[in-house]
Amino acid sequence: MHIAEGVLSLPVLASCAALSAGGIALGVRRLDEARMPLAALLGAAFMVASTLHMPVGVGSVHLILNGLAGLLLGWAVFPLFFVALLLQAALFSFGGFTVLGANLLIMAAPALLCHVLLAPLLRGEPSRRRLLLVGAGCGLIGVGGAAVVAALVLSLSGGRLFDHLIGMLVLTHAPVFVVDALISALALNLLWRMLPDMTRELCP
Amino acid sequence: MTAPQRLLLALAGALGAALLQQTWQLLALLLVAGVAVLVAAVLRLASVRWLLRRVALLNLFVLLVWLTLPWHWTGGGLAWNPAGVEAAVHISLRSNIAGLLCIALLAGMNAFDVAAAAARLGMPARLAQLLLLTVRYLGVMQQTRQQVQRAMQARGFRPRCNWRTLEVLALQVALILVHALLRAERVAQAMQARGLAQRVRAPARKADLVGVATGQESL
Repeated sequence: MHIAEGVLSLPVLASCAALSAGGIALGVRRLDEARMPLAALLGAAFMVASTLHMPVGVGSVHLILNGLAGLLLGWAVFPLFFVALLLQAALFSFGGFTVLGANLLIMAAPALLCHVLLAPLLRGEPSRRRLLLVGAGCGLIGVGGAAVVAALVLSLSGGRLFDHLIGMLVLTHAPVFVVDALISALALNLLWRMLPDMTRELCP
Repeated sequence: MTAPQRLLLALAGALGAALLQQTWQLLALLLVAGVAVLVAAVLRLASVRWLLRRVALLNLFVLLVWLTLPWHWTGGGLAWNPAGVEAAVHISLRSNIAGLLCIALLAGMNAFDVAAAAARLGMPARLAQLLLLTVRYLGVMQQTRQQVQRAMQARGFRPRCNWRTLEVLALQVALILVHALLRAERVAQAMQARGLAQRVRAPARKADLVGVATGQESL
């Protein structure tokens, strides 16, 4: 869900950039030296995992997994998604340099919400059902929240002009919403079973 | 031109496209961007096919804009909206200026070059370190993904729109994350052994690591 260059108005671009810069600064401050490689590895892992495709109908949807990343990484999603979006803008022309702040907010704000709301539910010995529910919640909040923030910045920029565009964006992301929730649920459950101690340490 | 200069120029181009308001100014800048792509093609910084694919990809969102902006619903049905057309023209111009300049200036650079250039453009030191580390591990994780995918293809897995595909994809995601976590464990131990990190997490239980290792082999 990347917004292209030239769509958003200048005030919206500037305020998104300022908010994102604050998020990045906070995220970097919370990453101590020893956890840097762990964060970089998980960031790279999520970038690679989000290129996986699920065939749906005639096309296919790629995963976003921003919610699951948020659950495991907390504030570090701001600098890590910044890195991912910078590379995507430079190497693939997805998004762009001036909308980097807005796109970062779209991806990272719901991810952080997942960490705040859902990580406390995993304290102690969560049951399989709870793991599946938390994982599905990550997909729903992550992708749904991204759609909400994208709609918000678009309507702040262009008012009613972007109504149809917002509708189209939400419509084209409906399959991603479902697939992301299901995959996040199953993946979190598997990850917890394979490496219980390390996963528990990630989301205290 | 050095890589940081190229990146800086691409940034300036995107900023210019966002700041300019008049249509003729945008058209002039688009001309410059178009020439830049031609120069990149002539200098063979990248193959023509690659350049064309990038330009097409760039215009996917523009297509979406043209499908939605010029229309609005009135009581009777769809009606042409002049304000929407003007906005769509400006969006197309700005998108293409920023995109074409970026494609032309950064043609032939890989993730490492971009990260190194960005780090040299005055990025905060710790953020630059995170950027370079992430790029460094991106290759490692891509290899892991290929390994896992090949193992699944060898066992006859073909992605379709069904529950089984969902399960296998979730397994791939989980395995990629497990690889990342185990690698982080090794990096942390190596750093500790060299006295670089004061605070390192306690190692995971041996039994978990053994279980995962055998699990991967049987996959």
